[in-house]
Amino acid sequence: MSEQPDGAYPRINGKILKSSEHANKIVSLVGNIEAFDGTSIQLKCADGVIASVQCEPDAEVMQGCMYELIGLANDNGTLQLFVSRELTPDMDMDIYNRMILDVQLNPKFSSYFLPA
Amino acid sequence: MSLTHGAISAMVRSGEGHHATPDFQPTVQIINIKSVGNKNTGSDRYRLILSDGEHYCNGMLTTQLNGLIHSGEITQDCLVRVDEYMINKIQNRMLTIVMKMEVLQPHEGRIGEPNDVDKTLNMAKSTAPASEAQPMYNRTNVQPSSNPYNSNGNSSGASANKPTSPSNPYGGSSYNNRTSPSSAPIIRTTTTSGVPITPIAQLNMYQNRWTIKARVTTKSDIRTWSNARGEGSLFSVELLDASAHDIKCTFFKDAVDKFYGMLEQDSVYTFSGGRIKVANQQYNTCKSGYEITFDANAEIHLVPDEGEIQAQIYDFVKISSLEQMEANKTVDLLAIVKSVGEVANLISKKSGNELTKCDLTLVDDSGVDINCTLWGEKAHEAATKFANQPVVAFRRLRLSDYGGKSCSTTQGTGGGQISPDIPEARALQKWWSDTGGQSTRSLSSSVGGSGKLDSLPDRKTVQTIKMEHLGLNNPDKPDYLTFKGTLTFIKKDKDGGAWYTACARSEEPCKNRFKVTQTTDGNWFCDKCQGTFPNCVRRWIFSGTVADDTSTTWVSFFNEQAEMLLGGNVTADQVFEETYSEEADQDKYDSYFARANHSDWVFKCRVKQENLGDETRVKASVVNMMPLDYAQESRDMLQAISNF
Repeated sequence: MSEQPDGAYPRINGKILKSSEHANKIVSLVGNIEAFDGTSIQLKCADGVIASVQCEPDAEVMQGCMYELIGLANDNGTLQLFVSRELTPDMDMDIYNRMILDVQLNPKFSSYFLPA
Repeated sequence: MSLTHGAISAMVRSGEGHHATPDFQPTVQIINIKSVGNKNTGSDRYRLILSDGEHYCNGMLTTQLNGLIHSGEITQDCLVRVDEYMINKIQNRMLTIVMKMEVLQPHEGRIGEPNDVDKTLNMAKSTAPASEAQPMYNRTNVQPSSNPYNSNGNSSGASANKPTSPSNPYGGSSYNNRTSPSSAPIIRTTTTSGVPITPIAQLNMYQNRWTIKARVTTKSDIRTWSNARGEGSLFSVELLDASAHDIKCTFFKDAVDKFYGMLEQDSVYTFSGGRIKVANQQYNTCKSGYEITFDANAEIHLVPDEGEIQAQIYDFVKISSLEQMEANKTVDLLAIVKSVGEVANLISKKSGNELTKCDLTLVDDSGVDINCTLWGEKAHEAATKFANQPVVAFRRLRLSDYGGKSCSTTQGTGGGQISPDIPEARALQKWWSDTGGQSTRSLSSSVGGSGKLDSLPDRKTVQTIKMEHLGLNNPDKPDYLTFKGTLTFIKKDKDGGAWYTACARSEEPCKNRFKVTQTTDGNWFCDKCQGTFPNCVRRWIFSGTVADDTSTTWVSFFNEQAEMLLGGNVTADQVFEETYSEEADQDKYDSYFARANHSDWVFKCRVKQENLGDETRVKASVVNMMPLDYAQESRDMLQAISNF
């Protein structure tokens, strides 16, 4: 892993993951589990793009639920899962996506998202 | 010093209307002065006979110059210079009203043997077509010897330095150059039938015969009155003519029946036969200093709209500027009707009459919206008239402090003009289609009650209470604010519980609100309705602290909000049952409050000054509160961020 400050990880959506922009860095991916076969997860991300996530068989995820998945972004556009956090199903994905694109990635506000 | 030769005939033949030119200021002799005032009303009017040695004419002195008579400056046979005068035709005779003059010198005896100019020149047929109505002093002059009107380089030929056709003098700026600043331009035109039209700007009380051509810019509803002197009905209109002056006209009794249906807003008519009186400034916001009353004898004819009269004169302000304006001012607004409310009927507290109203939300490109209440007829038409969010120009809306800031229609508002053909309207339309009016801030908050609370752009913070000195501006009027905050502490440990005992009577006058005290035999006595009941209703009352990232404040919670706070519909009676009545269950009691503590809400509070003995304190109480809708909040925040 590169010099990623401890505890600082960007929130991304499917498109950003696939672009390998954050390859070899820890990222956070929020989405709905479309399919889970024990070793890989198909996650529908905030922007609707389906991302591929590799995980261990004991991963605590259930199909159909909303999760925040934190892991290492691979340079092939997939995510290696470390931890998952369950979210309530009423999470509004559109707002989350807009937050990522319009706020977090907005050059105007980049100073607010720097690691402490 | 000699009298100006031919002055009298020149003046009298200069045609009806106002005259004041620097190159015609004749010297004449006042050969007669007679008081014709009405001793009953105390009005003082003087009739004059003016002479130039050859002719004399009848005239009046403008009341503003009465002082010259009282001071003795004007004496019989004195010589004066007339600087400004008006010609009125009264029963086929010309009357010269002297508006401005200077007494040059006293004189003994009458100069010359003047004859009555009216007889000499035979002015009977004065409804001549326009070309003859031009002032005499511009035509080739047949009088011998010195002629004042030729002296100044005026062309002695045809009217070269007057603008072209008299039928459109409004564009003629050379008129304005030649008249003294205090007078209106000499505007004269005729209708196709040859009747001379008087501009509204030139109407005055001395003239009884006039015809104006104007557009009906506003038309009020019919109102009836009934007082000791009788009763009747009336309606009023405002008329605007090509001189950009408007005037208020009222139709009484029979005139109402005759003309109410006929007159339509925005159409152009000729009007004559009305009576002119001085305007009542309190109710009249027109430009003219006069008002007209019409009875059934009025003559009104529809004429084709030739486009020389504006649809309306406006003086628009931006909605954002209303925030700072005082209440009761009247303004003109050009705005998009963002939404139209329901029509509601209510009884006026003041008059007891039933009123109809409809609320609109108006927004303009200053990014602020405001509530606008339509009254009367306009309320009924609103839903259809203002569908599809049109651009509307409203005139003379009255601003008020109700609900923050809001406005309402007045007599002078008319129905509002939809999509007026002016550049500002087009600009506003474009702004609306570009931005959709998303980011508007509201000046009108919802008043009391449950329902929608102010959304993010309208919210303040707890700090606002101190910073804006809320509650201190006016001891009688509370301030309101909405903020998002977290409950940090609830003062629940009052003796007997965080409630008070209230009257069991749920109808008027008590409505379960008023306090009851326990009697010796275990009943409850209410001071308000003087009733005694075996039971009482407990209602929450307690205070707590609420904080946000800026500050903390104490607020009081009353029953409705407290029930919501404690978990939905938790009534005081219920908690009392569970925790106090049989045995004291402090833990259970505490648990209710513990649940509520540290919860987030959007609070709407009333902040008011209260006197406790010598001290005056500002107290805040919660009038409404809503749980946070995180998705909506996020959306609002995203919007606010994108507008940043």
